[in-house]
Amino acid sequence: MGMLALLSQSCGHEFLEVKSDISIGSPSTIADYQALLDNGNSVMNNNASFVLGMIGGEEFYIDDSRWLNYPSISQKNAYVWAENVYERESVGDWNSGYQRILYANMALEGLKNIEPSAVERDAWNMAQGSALFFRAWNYFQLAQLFCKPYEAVTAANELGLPLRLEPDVTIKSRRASLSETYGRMLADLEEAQLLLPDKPSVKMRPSKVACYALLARIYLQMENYELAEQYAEKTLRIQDDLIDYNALPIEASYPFPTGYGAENEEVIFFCYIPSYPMFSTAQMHVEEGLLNLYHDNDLRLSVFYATGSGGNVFFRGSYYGSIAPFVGLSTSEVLLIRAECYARRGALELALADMNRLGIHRFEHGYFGSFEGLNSEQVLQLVLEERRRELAFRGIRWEDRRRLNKDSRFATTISRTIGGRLYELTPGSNRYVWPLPDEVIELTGMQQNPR
Amino acid sequence: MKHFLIMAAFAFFGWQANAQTVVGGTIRDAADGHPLTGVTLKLKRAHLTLKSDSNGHFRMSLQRPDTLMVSYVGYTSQSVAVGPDQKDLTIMLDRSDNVLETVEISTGYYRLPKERATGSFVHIDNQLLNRSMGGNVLQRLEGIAPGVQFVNSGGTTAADIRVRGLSTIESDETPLIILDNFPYEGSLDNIDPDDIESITVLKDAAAASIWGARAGNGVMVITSKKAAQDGRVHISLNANTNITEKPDLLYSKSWLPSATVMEIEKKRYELGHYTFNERTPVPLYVEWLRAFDEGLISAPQLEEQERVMRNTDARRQAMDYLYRGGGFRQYTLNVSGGAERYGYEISGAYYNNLDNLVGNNSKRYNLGVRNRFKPYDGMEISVGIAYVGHQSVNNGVDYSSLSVPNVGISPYMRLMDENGNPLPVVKGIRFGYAEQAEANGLLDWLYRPVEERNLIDNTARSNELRLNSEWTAKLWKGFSASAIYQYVRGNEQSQFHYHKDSYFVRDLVNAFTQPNGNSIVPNNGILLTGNPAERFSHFGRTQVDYQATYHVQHSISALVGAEIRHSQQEVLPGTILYNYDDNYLTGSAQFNYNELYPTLPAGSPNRRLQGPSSVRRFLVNRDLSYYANASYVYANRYMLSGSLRWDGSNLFGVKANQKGVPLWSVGGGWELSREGFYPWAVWLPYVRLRATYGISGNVNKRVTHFPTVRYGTTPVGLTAAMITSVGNPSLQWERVSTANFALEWRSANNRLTGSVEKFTKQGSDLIGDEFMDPTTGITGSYKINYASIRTSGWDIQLNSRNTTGRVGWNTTLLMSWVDNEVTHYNGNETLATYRYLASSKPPVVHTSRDLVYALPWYGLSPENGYPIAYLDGQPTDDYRTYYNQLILDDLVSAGVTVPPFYGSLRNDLSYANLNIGVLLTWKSGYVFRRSSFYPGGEFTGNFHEDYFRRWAKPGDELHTDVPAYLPLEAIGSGNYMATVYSESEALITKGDHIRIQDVNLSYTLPKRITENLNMQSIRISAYARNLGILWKANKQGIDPDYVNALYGAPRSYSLGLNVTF
Repeated sequence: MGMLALLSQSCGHEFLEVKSDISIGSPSTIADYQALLDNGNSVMNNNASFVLGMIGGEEFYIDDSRWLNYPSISQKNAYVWAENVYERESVGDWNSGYQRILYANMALEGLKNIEPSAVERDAWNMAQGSALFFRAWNYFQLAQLFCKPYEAVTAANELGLPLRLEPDVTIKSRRASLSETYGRMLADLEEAQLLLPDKPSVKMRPSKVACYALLARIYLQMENYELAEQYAEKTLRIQDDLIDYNALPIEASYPFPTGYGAENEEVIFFCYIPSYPMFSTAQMHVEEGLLNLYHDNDLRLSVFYATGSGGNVFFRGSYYGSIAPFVGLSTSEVLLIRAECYARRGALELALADMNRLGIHRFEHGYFGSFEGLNSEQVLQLVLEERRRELAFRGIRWEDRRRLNKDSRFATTISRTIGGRLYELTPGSNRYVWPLPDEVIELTGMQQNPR
Repeated sequence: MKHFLIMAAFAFFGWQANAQTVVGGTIRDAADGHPLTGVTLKLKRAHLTLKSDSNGHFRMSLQRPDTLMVSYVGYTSQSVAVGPDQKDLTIMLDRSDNVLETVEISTGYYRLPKERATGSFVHIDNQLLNRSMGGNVLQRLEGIAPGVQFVNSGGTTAADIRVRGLSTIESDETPLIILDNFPYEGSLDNIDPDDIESITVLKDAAAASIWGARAGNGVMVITSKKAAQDGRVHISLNANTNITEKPDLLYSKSWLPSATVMEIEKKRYELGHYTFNERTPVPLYVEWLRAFDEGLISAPQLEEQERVMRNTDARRQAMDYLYRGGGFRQYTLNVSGGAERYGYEISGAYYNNLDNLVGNNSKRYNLGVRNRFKPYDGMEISVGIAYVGHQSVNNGVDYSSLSVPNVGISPYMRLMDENGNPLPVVKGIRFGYAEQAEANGLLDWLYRPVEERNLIDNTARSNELRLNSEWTAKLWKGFSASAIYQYVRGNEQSQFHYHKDSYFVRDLVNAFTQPNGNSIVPNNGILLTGNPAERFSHFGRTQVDYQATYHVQHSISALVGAEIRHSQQEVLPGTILYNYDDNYLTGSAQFNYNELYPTLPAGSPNRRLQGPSSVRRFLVNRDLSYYANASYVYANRYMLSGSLRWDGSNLFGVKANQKGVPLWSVGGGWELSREGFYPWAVWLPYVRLRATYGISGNVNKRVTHFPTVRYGTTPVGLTAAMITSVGNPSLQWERVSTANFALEWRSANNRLTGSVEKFTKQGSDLIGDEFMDPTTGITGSYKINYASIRTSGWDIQLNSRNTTGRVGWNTTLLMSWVDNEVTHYNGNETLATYRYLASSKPPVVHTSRDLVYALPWYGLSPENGYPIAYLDGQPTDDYRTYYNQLILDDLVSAGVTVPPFYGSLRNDLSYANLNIGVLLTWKSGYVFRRSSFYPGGEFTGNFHEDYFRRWAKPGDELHTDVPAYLPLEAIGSGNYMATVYSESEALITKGDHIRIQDVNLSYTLPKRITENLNMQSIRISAYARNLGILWKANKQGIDPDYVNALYGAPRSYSLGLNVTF
């Protein structure tokens, strides 16, 4: 009978309040939202949306027989820029990009309702700034795959991305314009850089320097070289370290340190994609055209590349420290952005100074001959070539091709021949814009990209 | 509770305390109405006894209201309340051999006579339960419980059965298991079936409103044997032994003979389909061809090898060396005794099962003690303790584990040579490279399946301790109270010990051999312990019962109660010890589990060393319920019942008002045959109608109102949160309304008894997976309240006593019909066609949830033997475009996959002490999709006998549907021709079949022999199960219960001995 009293309503209410699983929770505090954004290895900093671009780029090829038996149909089709790419396979780049955007939106929605006290202010800023950075960073990646290259004149009329700015999954997706898409990224980053600390405590976390570096990259992509230079400048004022490749352990399987950028002073923001069969040491053949760009005394030739079991040359120079490609932001990239902007506005000395500084860190000691006395065309050519050498296998080549194809001086057709059949990707082709995933069209009826 | 009052057929008023009156009447047989002579009549308070006369009449004087106890050999005793001037009583006695009439149903909360129940119950008594043998109690129900459908034939867990079809889509659809008043959460394998007295299956709304939210899918109440009351010591000994035949691996159609596979492999080798490097396995025959081409072996050597291979059959090899005839032994000893004030029961059981797979076996020990005390009349206390220990060894290597990527299972695979030496087979790396390992300074890298099982030691152990106590007391007038409490504690642990010479160890040592020649993994044993888990639970219930009879005609029983449960489970991290030495129990865990090491063979990805499992969980489940239940019977023939319950649990991430669900039910019954106007009392003495209706709810623990996350730690040491649910603010619990109508009857002498039940379950707001636009951030699905389903059907049971007397012949026919229809669907309807062909397809309104869709089939083209397809009315060979333009309306509704019409026929024959029973089961009205050989299957290792039925020349299309050979070049990316065939209606096959479920035979030794031996009874029994199919609709030789299985359940034979003292 005593037990009946025990089960009285008020007591019962408390009795059922106990958590059913200690390790789950409903996010409500600043720390909870920070934890969402710190979920780096599973969500926020892994599986970045660079796979289609890496495969569609011109940096490597695989043997015909490998291609014929390739396990993923969508990657196989992407490799030859096929008309029908996915054949209903889900599209990792799209899905994981929007998953990260959901995480960021969930944090933003929660943080909106928290009025931080004075002691919480820094933590709130960190979380809010991080969420904004992540959202912009992912929209940028997705725009490089699923939207046309940015053109200031036409952007307002071009198809952009569906801009999801709230975590509510019941809101129907609708494509914004390309200018709205880029406008959102820039606005998010401008707000984020005010909130974030100069440098991060952990390289998987966003920072002011990461905002600047990303802004430089976005403006470069938008061909706004003036602002690109300004943000590159701001970046390098906070962090401009370069690694002397002479100090790297060349004999190791992978010369760069592991540890998610902690020991790599060039890393500004750490982000990576897992290794797919195409990128594996046994399957990948680095394009001869790319290998031929390196000078014999360029240490990158031996640091970045090694010969695999099948006599193939594969890329081993990921800042991840293993086969998984690093696709984050680094000082060397920003240095090259600045050099390009200098070159484009005719500040050739400044451009060459950056190039020479990079070269000294990349060549065998005593073998680097400084670049001197080149004309502006040559300097630009040099910087663009250096981008290929330095930023190989970071997914950047795809972005560069899209941007540079607009300039007849740099436009090229890339091609692959498989079993005697020629596949080509011509400058300005619709195939430079990947289709939206089949299931997205199926479930939302959104407008598909022309192919 | 054993006795209940039978009311006299009139009311009485104005009793005078000291008047002396006379009571009299007639005692008759309830079945045929003839008067009974010599019936013992006893007035309880007056201590007066007499017998009825030759006309069944009796007369006695009465001083005050009293209870008349009526008893007669062969009949069920009765108590009748008697008042003054009842001179014309008619007391109908029921024959006690009529099992149905004396059945008491245990709902787990109360017991009631079956005839008072308004709900739908199935009662399986001890005798019926013991007609079959086996270590699992659930298995014994197959084919004998109406409305209980075995979705997986021979099932041993609650998930293998459906009680009356579907009432949910996504939520838990398994019935609730109750063991001795408490929900049982352990494995059903833990219960010793010989210690079970009876099982009651609760099927309708009444069940749900008794047992709450978890009971929407039916409840099985399992009741253990109880302590005796008759002052004697009962000893019962059971010994069963079983032999199970070796599985027949020749059953599967997914197979091609060696010569054919060699032909295919040779052709592929010549076409350059194989990649040769150290890492990629290629078929063994291809290794030989390559060796020959490289000049490493001569032509005669190759020919000799080919001859051996052609004459090998991997299935027979596996049957000879990997499988065996299995069986079990089972012993149960049960001692019980006691009298009115005290009783005890002690039982012990041992069960040992030898699996069909060599290297696998399991053991179970049960021990139980129950005590019952009655300190004074009206109060009873019982306390019990039970222990179960379970141990299993799982070292066996099964046939399907021999499949290798890119190779499949080579039919010419040999496991043992002529001299009995284990032979190596192709494993994860190239065989030719593995053979050279020792020469390359590595350890032997060959995998020998027959040897491996002796070099590993994988065991799992579990223990469970249950403590039960119960207290009941009579309070005031009709009130009584009870309190029960249960404590359960259990733990589980598994251990994997790989000896130094096992392939597991050698493979790791070799793979982790570094360029300097040293391996990261020491060449010694490896001991892995799985995550140890511990759980315990407290469960308590208090209840007040009320029972009363007013003015003879009105009988009321009611109860209110509350129950509370706390259960928690803790999972601890696992461990791994390398360099483990079994002799000294030493090993080391000091390794770098973060480092990515280069591995062999060359070209393999860098790997981390396997570290200990870091899983750590702490789960708490709490439930709180309040319930009330009442029934009213008027004049023994009108019954009304109702119940109400509120169930709450500590669900996480839901609003406070979503932590609980209210449930209710109402029911009514009418015993038509007791009415004065009932015309057929002689030949149909018992007819009753009953009905229930109620609302219950399913709680789905996987959906939440608010977003939820799971916390973890990242490699850089930050606390990370993973979204486990984004939350659904419009979430509602599923509601299931159930209606049940039944008619039951018994003819004179119980010659023909039976029942017909009609039920309808309407599930609304059912939670299911909505396909999500991945742009939302959710890939795959998202749970919403998305559909309503109506399930309805009939359960019919007919029992016939065909003959009585020396030769007894009873027949029981069970027939069930159940189907469902999606009545409403909220989700996205603009879905791609392929989703409807998947095994978990989206619901479609006005069709069955179990419907299977197929692509239309137009046969094979007479020109090239490829499937005929049409695009815009024109024949096409562009299968990709054809397939992609199909819409749902183009698909064929090919039938349902779960039999809507099923049942069993049981015949029991007895002659003197000999009993024989045969149980046939049948399923019909359903289909399955059989596998076949699809074009290009030879390139992916998907072999199938239909290979030989492929179209080869014009004219073949008249008698085959198997498409012609398709060269690899023609396949391209996405083999749509294969899809057009594999998903077509050509492969939809009727599942209807009749099976001999089992046969049992038992012989009870004559009394005179057992009495001489000082024993109560000796029974010898034999039992055979899985005897095979009597008739099936398909012509392909497929057992519809084992469609794509490697083999069907092997025949099994048991022998049993039961002795009671």
